[in-house]
Amino acid sequence: MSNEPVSEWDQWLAENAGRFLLFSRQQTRGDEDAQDVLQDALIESWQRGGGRPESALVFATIRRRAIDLGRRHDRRTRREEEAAPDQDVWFDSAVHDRETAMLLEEAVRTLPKELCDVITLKVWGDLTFAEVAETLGIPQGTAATRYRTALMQLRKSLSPVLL
Amino acid sequence: MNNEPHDTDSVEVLLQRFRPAPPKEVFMQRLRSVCPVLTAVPDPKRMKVIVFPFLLARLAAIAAAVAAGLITWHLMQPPGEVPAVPAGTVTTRVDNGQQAPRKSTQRLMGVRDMGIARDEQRRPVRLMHATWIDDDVYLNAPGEEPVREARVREEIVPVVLNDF
Repeated sequence: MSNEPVSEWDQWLAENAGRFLLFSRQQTRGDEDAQDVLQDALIESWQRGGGRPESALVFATIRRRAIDLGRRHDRRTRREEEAAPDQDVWFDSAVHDRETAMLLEEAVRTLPKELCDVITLKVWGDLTFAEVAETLGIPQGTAATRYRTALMQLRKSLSPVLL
Repeated sequence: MNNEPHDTDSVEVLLQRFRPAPPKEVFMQRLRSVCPVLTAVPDPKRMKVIVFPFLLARLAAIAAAVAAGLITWHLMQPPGEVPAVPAGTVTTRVDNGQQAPRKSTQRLMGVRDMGIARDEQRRPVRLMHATWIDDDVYLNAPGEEPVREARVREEIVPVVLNDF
Protein backbone atom coordinates (compact mmCIF):
# COMPACT_ATOMS: atom_id res chain seq x y z
CA MET A 1 0.00 0.00 0.00
CA SER A 2 1.21 3.49 -0.75
CA ASN A 3 2.33 5.65 2.15
CA GLU A 4 0.47 8.65 0.79
CA PRO A 5 -2.96 8.03 2.36
CA VAL A 6 -1.33 7.32 5.72
CA SER A 7 0.54 10.60 5.80
CA GLU A 8 -2.52 12.51 4.67
CA TRP A 9 -4.54 10.83 7.42
CA ASP A 10 -1.87 11.79 9.96
CA GLN A 11 -1.80 15.34 8.69
CA TRP A 12 -5.58 15.61 8.77
CA LEU A 13 -5.63 14.28 12.33
CA ALA A 14 -2.96 16.73 13.42
CA GLU A 15 -4.92 19.63 11.95
CA ASN A 16 -8.41 18.70 13.10
CA ALA A 17 -8.49 16.13 15.91
CA GLY A 18 -8.66 18.81 18.62
CA ARG A 19 -11.84 20.47 17.41
CA PHE A 20 -13.51 17.16 16.61
CA LEU A 21 -12.64 15.84 20.06
CA LEU A 22 -14.09 18.94 21.72
CA PHE A 23 -17.42 18.35 19.99
CA SER A 24 -17.30 14.63 20.74
CA ARG A 25 -16.73 15.39 24.45
CA GLN A 26 -19.80 17.58 24.46
CA GLN A 27 -21.91 14.86 22.86
CA THR A 28 -20.91 12.06 25.25
CA ARG A 29 -20.75 11.39 28.95
CA GLY A 30 -17.02 11.00 29.41
CA ASP A 31 -13.64 11.05 27.76
CA GLU A 32 -13.55 7.35 26.99
CA ASP A 33 -16.87 7.48 25.19
CA ALA A 34 -15.77 10.66 23.42
CA GLN A 35 -12.62 8.99 22.14
CA ASP A 36 -14.43 5.85 21.00
CA VAL A 37 -17.11 7.86 19.21
CA LEU A 38 -14.51 10.10 17.64
CA GLN A 39 -12.37 7.24 16.37
CA ASP A 40 -15.33 5.49 14.75
CA ALA A 41 -16.65 8.75 13.31
CA LEU A 42 -13.30 9.73 11.82
CA ILE A 43 -12.86 6.37 10.13
CA GLU A 44 -16.42 6.34 8.81
CA SER A 45 -16.17 9.92 7.51
CA TRP A 46 -12.80 9.28 5.88
CA GLN A 47 -14.11 6.21 4.11
CA ARG A 48 -17.34 7.88 3.03
CA GLY A 49 -15.46 10.91 1.77
CA GLY A 50 -12.93 8.80 -0.09
CA GLY A 51 -10.21 10.66 1.81
CA ARG A 52 -10.18 13.97 3.65
CA PRO A 53 -13.88 14.60 4.39
CA GLU A 54 -15.80 17.86 4.79
CA SER A 55 -15.82 19.04 8.40
CA ALA A 56 -19.62 19.19 8.48
CA LEU A 57 -19.79 15.49 7.58
CA VAL A 58 -17.44 14.61 10.44
CA PHE A 59 -19.39 16.65 12.99
CA ALA A 60 -22.68 15.12 11.82
CA THR A 61 -21.18 11.63 12.07
CA ILE A 62 -19.87 12.30 15.58
CA ARG A 63 -23.31 13.50 16.61
CA ARG A 64 -25.10 10.49 15.12
CA ARG A 65 -22.70 8.00 16.68
CA ALA A 66 -22.93 9.75 20.05
CA ILE A 67 -26.72 9.52 19.92
CA ASP A 68 -26.46 5.80 19.08
CA LEU A 69 -24.06 5.28 21.96
CA GLY A 70 -26.35 7.21 24.29
CA ARG A 71 -29.24 4.92 23.38
CA ARG A 72 -27.14 1.85 24.12
CA HIS A 73 -26.10 3.41 27.41
CA ASP A 74 -29.71 4.01 28.32
CA ARG A 75 -30.53 0.35 27.81
CA ARG A 76 -27.86 -0.90 30.18
CA THR A 77 -26.93 0.14 33.68
CA ARG A 78 -25.02 3.40 33.87
CA ARG A 79 -22.46 1.98 36.22
CA GLU A 80 -19.52 4.14 35.30
CA GLU A 81 -21.43 7.32 34.65
CA GLU A 82 -20.42 9.16 37.79
CA ALA A 83 -17.33 7.10 38.45
CA ALA A 84 -15.08 8.76 35.91
CA PRO A 85 -15.43 12.51 35.79
CA ASP A 86 -13.72 14.34 32.96
CA GLN A 87 -10.13 15.13 33.79
CA ASP A 88 -9.00 16.66 30.54
CA VAL A 89 -9.39 20.35 29.89
CA TRP A 90 -11.39 21.45 26.87
CA PHE A 91 -9.31 24.42 25.82
CA ASP A 92 -5.66 25.04 25.17
CA SER A 93 -4.24 27.97 27.09
CA ALA A 94 -1.06 29.69 28.10
CA VAL A 95 -0.28 29.68 31.81
CA HIS A 96 -1.50 33.24 32.33
CA ASP A 97 -4.77 32.40 30.57
CA ARG A 98 -5.51 29.17 32.40
CA GLU A 99 -8.01 30.67 34.77
CA THR A 100 -9.94 32.24 31.90
CA ALA A 101 -9.85 28.94 30.00
CA MET A 102 -11.36 27.14 33.00
CA LEU A 103 -14.01 29.80 33.37
CA LEU A 104 -14.79 29.50 29.65
CA GLU A 105 -15.05 25.70 29.87
CA GLU A 106 -17.42 25.96 32.81
CA ALA A 107 -19.50 28.56 30.99
CA VAL A 108 -19.76 26.42 27.85
CA ARG A 109 -20.54 23.28 29.89
CA THR A 110 -23.43 24.99 31.62
CA LEU A 111 -25.05 26.22 28.41
CA PRO A 112 -28.19 24.35 27.34
CA LYS A 113 -27.14 21.58 24.97
CA GLU A 114 -28.74 23.12 21.89
CA LEU A 115 -26.84 26.37 22.47
CA CYS A 116 -23.60 24.57 23.32
CA ASP A 117 -23.76 22.58 20.07
CA VAL A 118 -24.23 25.69 17.94
CA ILE A 119 -21.54 27.78 19.61
CA THR A 120 -19.04 24.92 19.44
CA LEU A 121 -19.66 24.13 15.78
CA LYS A 122 -19.60 27.80 14.80
CA VAL A 123 -16.63 29.05 16.81
CA TRP A 124 -14.35 26.05 17.19
CA GLY A 125 -15.73 23.86 14.43
CA ASP A 126 -15.37 26.75 11.98
CA LEU A 127 -18.64 25.89 10.25
CA THR A 128 -20.99 28.30 8.51
CA PHE A 129 -24.55 28.71 9.78
CA ALA A 130 -25.66 26.64 6.82
CA GLU A 131 -23.31 23.82 7.83
CA VAL A 132 -24.27 24.10 11.49
CA ALA A 133 -27.92 23.86 10.49
CA GLU A 134 -27.27 20.83 8.33
CA THR A 135 -25.22 19.10 11.02
CA LEU A 136 -27.85 19.60 13.71
CA GLY A 137 -30.91 19.22 11.47
CA ILE A 138 -32.29 22.68 12.25
CA PRO A 139 -33.18 25.72 10.10
CA GLN A 140 -30.40 28.22 9.42
CA GLY A 141 -32.34 30.99 11.10
CA THR A 142 -32.63 28.87 14.24
CA ALA A 143 -28.87 28.26 14.18
CA ALA A 144 -28.23 32.00 13.96
CA THR A 145 -30.69 32.78 16.75
CA ARG A 146 -29.22 30.11 19.02
CA TYR A 147 -25.75 31.44 18.31
CA ARG A 148 -26.76 34.91 19.40
CA THR A 149 -28.55 33.60 22.49
CA ALA A 150 -25.49 31.56 23.41
CA LEU A 151 -23.27 34.62 23.09
CA MET A 152 -25.58 36.60 25.36
CA GLN A 153 -25.55 33.84 27.99
CA LEU A 154 -21.79 33.45 27.76
CA ARG A 155 -21.39 37.17 28.16
CA LYS A 156 -23.12 36.94 31.52
CA SER A 157 -21.05 33.98 32.67
CA LEU A 158 -17.79 35.47 31.47
CA SER A 159 -18.39 39.03 32.63
CA PRO A 160 -15.52 38.85 35.20
CA VAL A 161 -12.97 38.38 32.42
CA LEU A 162 -14.64 40.67 29.91
CA LEU A 163 -14.24 43.80 32.02
CA MET B 1 -30.63 43.63 28.94
CA ASN B 2 -28.12 45.60 26.92
CA ASN B 3 -28.16 44.45 23.30
CA GLU B 4 -25.37 46.64 21.99
CA PRO B 5 -23.42 44.88 19.26
CA HIS B 6 -20.09 45.23 21.05
CA ASP B 7 -21.48 43.17 23.94
CA THR B 8 -21.47 40.00 21.90
CA ASP B 9 -18.47 41.07 19.83
CA SER B 10 -16.30 41.08 22.94
CA VAL B 11 -17.49 37.57 23.81
CA GLU B 12 -16.72 36.36 20.30
CA VAL B 13 -13.23 37.79 20.53
CA LEU B 14 -12.69 35.99 23.82
CA LEU B 15 -14.02 32.68 22.47
CA GLN B 16 -11.83 32.89 19.40
CA ARG B 17 -8.78 33.47 21.57
CA PHE B 18 -9.00 29.91 22.80
CA ARG B 19 -8.52 26.81 20.68
CA PRO B 20 -9.70 23.30 21.57
CA ALA B 21 -7.11 21.43 23.58
CA PRO B 22 -5.18 18.97 21.44
CA PRO B 23 -5.86 15.30 22.18
CA LYS B 24 -3.35 13.51 24.35
CA GLU B 25 -0.48 11.92 22.48
CA VAL B 26 -1.61 8.42 23.52
CA PHE B 27 -4.97 8.99 21.83
CA MET B 28 -3.35 10.53 18.77
CA GLN B 29 -1.14 7.46 18.43
CA ARG B 30 -4.23 5.29 18.68
CA LEU B 31 -5.92 7.30 15.91
CA ARG B 32 -2.85 7.21 13.69
CA SER B 33 -2.59 3.46 14.19
CA VAL B 34 -6.10 2.80 12.85
CA CYS B 35 -5.15 4.11 9.44
CA PRO B 36 -3.98 0.70 8.13
CA VAL B 37 -7.53 -0.51 8.71
CA LEU B 38 -8.63 1.95 6.02
CA THR B 39 -8.27 -0.53 3.20
CA ALA B 40 -11.28 1.09 1.58
CA VAL B 41 -9.33 4.24 0.79
CA PRO B 42 -9.77 4.41 -2.99
CA ASP B 43 -6.88 4.73 -5.35
CA PRO B 44 -6.63 8.02 -7.26
CA LYS B 45 -8.27 6.58 -10.39
CA ARG B 46 -11.33 5.52 -8.43
CA MET B 47 -11.35 8.80 -6.54
CA LYS B 48 -12.03 10.62 -9.79
CA VAL B 49 -15.26 8.71 -10.10
CA ILE B 50 -16.30 9.75 -6.64
CA VAL B 51 -15.04 13.30 -6.72
CA PHE B 52 -16.46 14.45 -10.01
CA PRO B 53 -20.15 13.85 -9.31
CA PHE B 54 -19.58 15.74 -6.07
CA LEU B 55 -18.01 18.64 -7.93
CA LEU B 56 -20.73 18.60 -10.53
CA ALA B 57 -23.34 18.62 -7.79
CA ARG B 58 -21.67 21.64 -6.22
CA LEU B 59 -21.47 23.33 -9.60
CA ALA B 60 -25.16 22.71 -10.09
CA ALA B 61 -25.84 24.12 -6.62
CA ILE B 62 -23.83 27.26 -7.40
CA ALA B 63 -25.56 27.68 -10.72
CA ALA B 64 -28.96 27.25 -9.06
CA ALA B 65 -28.08 29.76 -6.34
CA VAL B 66 -26.82 32.28 -8.87
CA ALA B 67 -29.87 31.80 -11.05
CA ALA B 68 -32.22 32.10 -8.08
CA GLY B 69 -30.41 35.22 -6.95
CA LEU B 70 -30.56 36.81 -10.35
CA ILE B 71 -34.24 35.94 -10.76
CA THR B 72 -35.09 37.29 -7.30
CA TRP B 73 -33.11 40.43 -7.92
CA HIS B 74 -34.64 40.84 -11.36
CA LEU B 75 -38.16 40.47 -9.98
CA MET B 76 -37.45 43.11 -7.35
CA GLN B 77 -36.46 45.70 -9.96
CA PRO B 78 -39.05 48.35 -10.84
CA PRO B 79 -40.20 48.00 -14.45
CA GLY B 80 -37.92 49.67 -16.98
CA GLU B 81 -35.06 50.26 -14.56
CA VAL B 82 -31.52 49.51 -15.70
CA PRO B 83 -29.65 46.90 -13.61
CA ALA B 84 -26.83 48.33 -11.49
CA VAL B 85 -25.37 45.34 -9.65
CA PRO B 86 -21.58 44.97 -9.95
CA ALA B 87 -20.41 42.01 -12.00
CA GLY B 88 -19.76 38.88 -9.95
CA THR B 89 -22.10 39.90 -7.15
CA VAL B 90 -25.27 38.04 -6.31
CA THR B 91 -27.66 39.11 -3.58
CA THR B 92 -30.55 36.97 -2.42
CA ARG B 93 -33.12 37.46 0.25
CA VAL B 94 -34.50 34.28 1.75
CA ASP B 95 -37.64 34.75 3.80
CA ASN B 96 -39.41 31.51 4.47
CA GLY B 97 -42.19 31.68 7.00
CA GLN B 98 -41.19 31.13 10.59
CA GLN B 99 -37.45 31.14 10.05
CA ALA B 100 -35.40 34.28 10.52
CA PRO B 101 -35.13 35.99 7.13
CA ARG B 102 -31.68 35.93 5.64
CA LYS B 103 -30.01 38.30 3.25
CA SER B 104 -27.15 36.76 1.37
CA THR B 105 -24.54 38.30 -0.88
CA GLN B 106 -21.91 36.37 -2.81
CA ARG B 107 -19.02 38.21 -4.41
CA LEU B 108 -16.78 36.48 -6.91
CA MET B 109 -13.26 37.61 -6.02
CA GLY B 110 -11.21 35.65 -8.51
CA VAL B 111 -10.94 32.69 -10.83
CA ARG B 112 -7.78 30.67 -11.45
CA ASP B 113 -7.08 27.95 -14.00
CA MET B 114 -5.95 24.74 -12.28
CA GLY B 115 -5.30 22.70 -15.39
CA ILE B 116 -7.01 19.91 -17.26
CA ALA B 117 -8.25 16.56 -15.89
CA ARG B 118 -10.71 13.89 -16.99
CA ASP B 119 -14.18 13.28 -15.60
CA GLU B 120 -15.84 9.92 -15.00
CA GLN B 121 -16.71 9.63 -18.69
CA ARG B 122 -13.07 10.26 -19.59
CA ARG B 123 -13.93 13.62 -21.12
CA PRO B 124 -11.36 16.38 -20.72
CA VAL B 125 -12.43 19.05 -18.23
CA ARG B 126 -10.73 22.27 -17.27
CA LEU B 127 -10.69 22.77 -13.50
CA MET B 128 -11.29 26.35 -12.46
CA HIS B 129 -10.66 27.53 -8.93
CA ALA B 130 -13.13 30.23 -7.90
CA THR B 131 -12.89 32.35 -4.75
CA TRP B 132 -16.10 33.85 -3.35
CA ILE B 133 -16.89 36.02 -0.38
CA ASP B 134 -20.22 35.04 1.13
CA ASP B 135 -21.86 37.67 3.29
CA ASP B 136 -24.97 36.42 5.12
CA VAL B 137 -27.09 38.53 7.44
CA TYR B 138 -29.64 36.73 9.62
CA LEU B 139 -32.38 39.11 10.67
CA ASN B 140 -33.70 38.18 14.10
CA ALA B 141 -36.82 39.34 15.87
CA PRO B 142 -37.60 43.07 15.78
CA GLY B 143 -35.35 44.99 18.15
CA GLU B 144 -32.59 42.38 18.08
CA GLU B 145 -29.28 42.88 16.36
CA PRO B 146 -28.90 40.91 13.13
CA VAL B 147 -26.32 38.11 13.12
CA ARG B 148 -23.76 38.59 10.38
CA GLU B 149 -21.51 35.97 8.88
CA ALA B 150 -18.88 36.67 6.25
CA ARG B 151 -16.41 34.13 4.97
CA VAL B 152 -14.24 33.20 2.05
CA ARG B 153 -15.48 30.19 0.06
CA GLU B 154 -13.44 28.37 -2.50
CA GLU B 155 -14.89 26.20 -5.24
CA ILE B 156 -13.35 23.97 -7.84
CA VAL B 157 -15.52 24.08 -10.92
CA PRO B 158 -15.02 21.57 -13.74
CA VAL B 159 -15.72 22.97 -17.18
CA VAL B 160 -16.25 20.32 -19.85
CA LEU B 161 -14.08 20.87 -22.92
CA ASN B 162 -15.33 19.92 -26.35
CA ASP B 163 -13.34 17.47 -28.47
CA PHE B 164 -12.91 18.38 -32.12
